[in-house]
Amino acid sequence: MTRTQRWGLWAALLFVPVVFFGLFFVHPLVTIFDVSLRPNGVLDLSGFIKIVTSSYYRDTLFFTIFQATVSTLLTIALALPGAYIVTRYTFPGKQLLLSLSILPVVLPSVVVATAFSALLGARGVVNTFLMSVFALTDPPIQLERSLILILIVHVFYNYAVGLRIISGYWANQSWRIEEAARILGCEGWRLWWYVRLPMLRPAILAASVLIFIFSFTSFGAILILGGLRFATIEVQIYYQAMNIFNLPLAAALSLVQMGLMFGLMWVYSGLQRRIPRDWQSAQQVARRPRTLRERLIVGGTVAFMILFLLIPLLALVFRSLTVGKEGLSFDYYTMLAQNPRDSILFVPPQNAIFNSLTFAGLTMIMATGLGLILSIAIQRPGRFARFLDAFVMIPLATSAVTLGFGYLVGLDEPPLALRSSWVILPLAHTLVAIPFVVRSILPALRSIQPSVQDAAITLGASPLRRWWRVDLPLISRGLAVGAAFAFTASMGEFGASLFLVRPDTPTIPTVIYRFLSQPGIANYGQALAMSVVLMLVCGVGFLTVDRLRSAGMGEF
Amino acid sequence: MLSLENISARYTEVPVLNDISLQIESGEIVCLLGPSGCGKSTLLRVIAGLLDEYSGSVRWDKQDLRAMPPYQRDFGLMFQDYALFPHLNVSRNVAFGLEMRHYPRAERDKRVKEMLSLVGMGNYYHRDVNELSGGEKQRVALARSLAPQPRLLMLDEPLGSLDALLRERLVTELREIIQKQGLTAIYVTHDRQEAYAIADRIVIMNNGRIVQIDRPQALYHSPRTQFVAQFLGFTNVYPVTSFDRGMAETAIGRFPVTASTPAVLVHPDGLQLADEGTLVGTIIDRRFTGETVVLTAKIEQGEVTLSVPSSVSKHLVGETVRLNAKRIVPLVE
Repeated sequence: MTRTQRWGLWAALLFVPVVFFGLFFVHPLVTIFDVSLRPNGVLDLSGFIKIVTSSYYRDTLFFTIFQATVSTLLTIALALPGAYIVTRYTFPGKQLLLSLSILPVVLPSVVVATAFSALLGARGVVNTFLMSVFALTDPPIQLERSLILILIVHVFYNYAVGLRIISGYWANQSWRIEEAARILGCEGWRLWWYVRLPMLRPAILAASVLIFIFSFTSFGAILILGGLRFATIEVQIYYQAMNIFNLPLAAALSLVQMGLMFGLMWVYSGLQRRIPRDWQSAQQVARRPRTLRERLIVGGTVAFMILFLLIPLLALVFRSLTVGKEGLSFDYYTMLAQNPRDSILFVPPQNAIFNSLTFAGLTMIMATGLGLILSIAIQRPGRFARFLDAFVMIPLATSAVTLGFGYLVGLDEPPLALRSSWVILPLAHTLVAIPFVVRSILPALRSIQPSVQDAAITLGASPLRRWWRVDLPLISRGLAVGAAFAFTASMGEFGASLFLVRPDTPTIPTVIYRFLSQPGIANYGQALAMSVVLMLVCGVGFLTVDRLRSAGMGEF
Repeated sequence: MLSLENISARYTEVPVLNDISLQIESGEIVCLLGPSGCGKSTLLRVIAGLLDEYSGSVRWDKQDLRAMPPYQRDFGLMFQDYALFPHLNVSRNVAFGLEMRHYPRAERDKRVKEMLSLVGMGNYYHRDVNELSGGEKQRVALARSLAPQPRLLMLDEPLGSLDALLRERLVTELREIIQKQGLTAIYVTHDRQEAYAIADRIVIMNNGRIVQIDRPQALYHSPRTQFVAQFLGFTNVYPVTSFDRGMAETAIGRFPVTASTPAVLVHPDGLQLADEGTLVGTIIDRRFTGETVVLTAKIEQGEVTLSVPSSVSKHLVGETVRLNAKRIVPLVE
């Protein structure tokens, strides 16, 4: 194969993801611009001006920023002690605890929201227990529809992000710095204030921006736990578009959201560049806690992590078996297969499991394939690669709700009349998943020594054979991590699905939401049971990611 | 036979190779010696075909290689960091080049075994390469580059990351193996001892240019320029301040030379302590290195260093000594 032919083949390959992004990302977003700024074919900024002027929508923006800020501060404050003991001490079960800490990353927001409702809600474990012990008629803890519960869920979600970024950076810092500070007379809180925190600043900043982005665009948890009273921009976009069909306003909100998120993503990638990628040089200084005080600190933090990360999930499983029943029963699980009202419009919930698995499988294949091509393109030198690197991350900043909304308005005319086809869901999920896939493959690609590739070439391997025999085997773990991420991302995807799902092909998260929004203990019980099912499926994804993590999780 | 004609290459604006011409005969071991950044590794990459932005020509037996991709050149390259495939075990690493050339299985296995025992790694057949020590990796890398019987073997600082003791032993072994296989080889290093030990001819490079090509002994005896002299570790180099009727004036005295040159080297070969010596100086430093004692003496405006066997040296700082300098090498640059 000549150089020109190779170039042609490569260009043809790269054409696929470029077209995909053009049709299923740029086009829907441009349509949002169109709907927002030119609602009747002419430039009309009234929807936009309405946002800026109306206090109601300003409050929405303010509340979104407020809850994201508080979530971020809380998460960082709680993750810092965790990062400290993880970098500083060894203790039995440390690896297990670290693995456990990434579990929330792959758990769907619907599951997490349901789990916390099963733990702290009116019918939750804690309230039922308190009511039976103190013979109360009303649940004593009223957290449902409260900001506190939303904040707790956000911390739960982002704890691992803070822990990983900060402890990864910390392990790379020389402990000599701290020892030097000590010899110079710096101890206790002054050590934190003058040495540790300033030293960790790049990591804390990067983690904060990422957690802020995630909390800002949080949708499922807020919709389920807060309702419209705590409407963030995301929830407003959904409400305006789906409930009162005010498309121009929803579009205007999406624009504001996108603008803010792009800015923050830009800041984040700038911060991330300052953090070295090579964790291998991390010095191993962790040791067992010796004094009683050290044991208390380590034990307390570990106990907090276990309680905080595991108890909600256990409560979910427990309540799915007990809610509204005497003793344990699998009734809600068997109900998932039944059609109680014998309605012809009713789809048995178990079909949703099949749908979700099918969509997730398709998403995994598409996202891994496209992500691989994009990763290779990003890995090449040049300005185009740098542009692509930033561009591929944009879906992460575009919220799933915006994306779903964009599909709704952008893909409803031939030749792209996909709005009523089931295909639209895996397409949306693929876009959501691609940043995760690329971020899983890139570190593996970057860690291939150039001399290893040159060695293959001088030993007689043509570029294609080199790719097949050397590069591909070396990135296979990163590829598998990316595929597992894509699969779980699709399984749990909620924001875009809520816009795009067809009544006859529901997915697991949309079915859970439907159950939750209907009254009655039977619906609640089935929501819990379905959440457990989803948690188990994502748990498999989690195990895959965890087993391969050392190779590929580098950039999150 | 490999011939390089007027090879130049630049990295962005900075020239890294400047008009390099060199011929290497079949069966010859040529060593590229120079400080890091002098362009020697870049030259290897040009020859291997891994770098194709250069001017000039690389020929093998009259055939221009410019259009030939690296994987068809049949050149072996052994990398400084060994570049073993981390996903393949020892035998699969060695077999890689043979697989690329579609050797039949039986022949491949036989050749892999042969190569591994040649480098003394016969028992490492199934081992994971990530578990090997530096010296073991080096041997596997050598076996891998030898296995497909390359017509030219290039070694890029192959002993660079090993400790001094191991290096000394392996360099002799390397020469034996290369000669036993009858290979043409280019060996890149910045260590003059390694170069002396392995090379038939040494090519000294500096700033992307060749400054001298010679057999090791000739090079040692007659370095051509100040750079070469200093790079080979000679310290007694003096600029010539004036030249008059066959005598060159330097900081430490006047020496007879045949022609005017910018500098001269007082070669250690001809430098001795002697009671009737013509150079008179005071010892200002004494450094014990083991086998020798290195004395620094101040003579007129300059300083001279010389090594004396430590068994005979009883000189102390402040003592007056007399020296004879019998071999003066004129340096042309």
